[in-house]
Amino acid sequence: MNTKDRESLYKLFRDMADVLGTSRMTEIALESFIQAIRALKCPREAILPLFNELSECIKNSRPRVVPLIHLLEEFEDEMRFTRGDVDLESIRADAVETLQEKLDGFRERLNRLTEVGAQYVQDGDVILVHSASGVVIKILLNAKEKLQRNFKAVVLKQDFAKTRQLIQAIAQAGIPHEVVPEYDLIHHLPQATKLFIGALAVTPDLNVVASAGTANIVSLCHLGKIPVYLFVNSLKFSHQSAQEQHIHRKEEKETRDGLTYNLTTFSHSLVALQLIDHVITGKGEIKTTAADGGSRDLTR
Amino acid sequence: MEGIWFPVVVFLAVYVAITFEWINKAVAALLGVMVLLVFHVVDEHTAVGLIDFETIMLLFGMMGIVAVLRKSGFFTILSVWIAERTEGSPLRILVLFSIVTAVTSAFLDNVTTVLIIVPIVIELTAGMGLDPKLFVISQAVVSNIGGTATLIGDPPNIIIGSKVGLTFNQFPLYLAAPVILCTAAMIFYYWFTHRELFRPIDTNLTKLFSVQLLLEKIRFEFLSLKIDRVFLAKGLGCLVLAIGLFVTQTITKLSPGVVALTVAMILFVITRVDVEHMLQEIEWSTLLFFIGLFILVGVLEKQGAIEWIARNVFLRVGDNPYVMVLVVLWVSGIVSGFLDNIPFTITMIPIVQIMQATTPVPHNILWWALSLGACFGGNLTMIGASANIVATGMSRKLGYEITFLEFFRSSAVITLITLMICSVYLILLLWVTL
Repeated sequence: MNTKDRESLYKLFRDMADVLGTSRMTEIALESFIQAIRALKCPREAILPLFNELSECIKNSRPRVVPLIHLLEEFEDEMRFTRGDVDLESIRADAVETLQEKLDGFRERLNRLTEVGAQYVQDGDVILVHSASGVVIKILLNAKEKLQRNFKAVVLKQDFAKTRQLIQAIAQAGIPHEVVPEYDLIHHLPQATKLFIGALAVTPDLNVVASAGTANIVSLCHLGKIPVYLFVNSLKFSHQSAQEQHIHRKEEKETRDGLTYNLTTFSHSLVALQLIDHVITGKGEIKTTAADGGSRDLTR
Repeated sequence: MEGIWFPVVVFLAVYVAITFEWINKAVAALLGVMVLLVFHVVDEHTAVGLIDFETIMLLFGMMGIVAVLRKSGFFTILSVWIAERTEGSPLRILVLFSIVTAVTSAFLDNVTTVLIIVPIVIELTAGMGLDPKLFVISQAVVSNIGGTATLIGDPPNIIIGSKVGLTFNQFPLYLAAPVILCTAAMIFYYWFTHRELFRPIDTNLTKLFSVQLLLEKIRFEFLSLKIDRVFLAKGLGCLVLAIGLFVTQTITKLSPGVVALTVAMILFVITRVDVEHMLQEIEWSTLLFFIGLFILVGVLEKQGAIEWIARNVFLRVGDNPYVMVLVVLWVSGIVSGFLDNIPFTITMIPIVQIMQATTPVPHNILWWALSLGACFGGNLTMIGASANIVATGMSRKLGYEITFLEFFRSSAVITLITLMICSVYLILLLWVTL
């Protein structure tokens, strides 16, 4: 795969994670993988190199899509491409079945996390939410629809594309909400009771890779003593440090009102785990102070 | 000859201003009219009488119907559906989108068609790591080809149909065949000259994976607007009604202009749209441009200038119908590539009428030559047709700038091929009928 194609794929990952959240993107990636294997036309001996190419490409994406990488590694362990006595159609059927199992398992984990997460919403809460975290959206919907909690959401809007789905979902569910610019957060801190965030990855050096802008919001909430809740399923605990997550740095020339300048942006934020008060996984809350150990346990 | 020089100079000045885009084309045309009124070349009552309201009603009505359909999300649903059917095959992207663009352009406005199709084509091809430029150019080209098939597909046809009194059914009857042939030729030409680009991807697992992801992204991005099914059904119902009435024009005796405007008004009422908002969607500058040109050309006609051009330029080619048809086709084709085909068609209509009166050519073949030339000629350059300007503008906005030369390199040969196909078709048609 040439660099251009590789860059196109990584950009696609980033765009989708931005608007749909990492969990939903992981689901779509697994579905796409199944479709791609079904449509593939190649000789038996070509399947292993083709798979290796895709696997290598996904594992080196910028940034790393940690849950997808974990699922891919599990898939690799279970598949036996190298066995000479298996024909192409059997490999195809096996691969589709294994991937479907991974997808179902991932959805189960997500459901468990959203069920656990909904219990952290209490009547009277004013919850700050930001960016398109599929998990956080589902938690809010569960809390409203299944647990009948009465709460208000304050959506911190940055780029419209990134918050569109969030606003649409909570509006459709009838959750009382207010949309405010992210930079006005300080004015909403007095009424806020909690901040809910999702993440792309939790690293062993106690950092959280989250959507762009999260670090500022978390810092401000931390200063304002607003409890920060991070919802992550165990597949998001990475083996690699924050530096190895390949957060994408983009530098581009921008011209506005006749003024041209170089704008540098990063695809994701890095948040110190110590600023997060509650880390919730599908198994319940793990102590922040023990997050290092916890993350290591879960990663294993 | 003496009295005609002033309106001729005014007309040429307007043409130059439009061609070099010195001022807005509607303003240029109306300013020309005002100069003629101020200098008493024509009085205001005569000027108003020169406007072809049949054409204006048809354009206004179709713009209204398209505005409501655009709001209904119909085009987006259609484009996403096609994107899914392509399964990421570059050749299928070219073929399916070209067919959809051609068919949609035949019944609706070309500019609206490319406005909806081009962003999805760019998203799909760029996301696959392909260069979207050729795909964008192909959609502009095919929208001009497809629009030629019907009376309502392209402004030159609307003008010819209304001014000459041709029926809706006559257009597809005589023009569908060359349009289909030229669409097929365009697809073949682009495939043949860019075979590497259209290589199938089903042997590449990573590309297949990327395409599936991409289609999901397109579904999310373009279908996230809330679709009101009742609104959509009313919009499509009215479009079908309008086409039905166009087709049965000889029975109902309703002119296309009356049909389009009536259906548009019915649509405004039954969908309860914000009429003020819908009226903002109408391209008033295009309508005013038409009005101005009708008056300018009408004055030239009254003063005898058109007859002079016809007799001293076009009738010089002799009275051989084959030569006359080819001259109209190729002159229209080449001139429309560089000048706006709307004023050109309005100018050519009285000329062709004189040619037809001098040497009658059966089955309106001279009109079909004008239609094919004016519509297909628009493909020659980036500025030859509104759809080209809109498609390339949209492409630039999305980060893929297409230069004048790039467009010309991809469109010139196909324009010549399509004009050659049309030449053969018209010669055969004439040979059969003579």
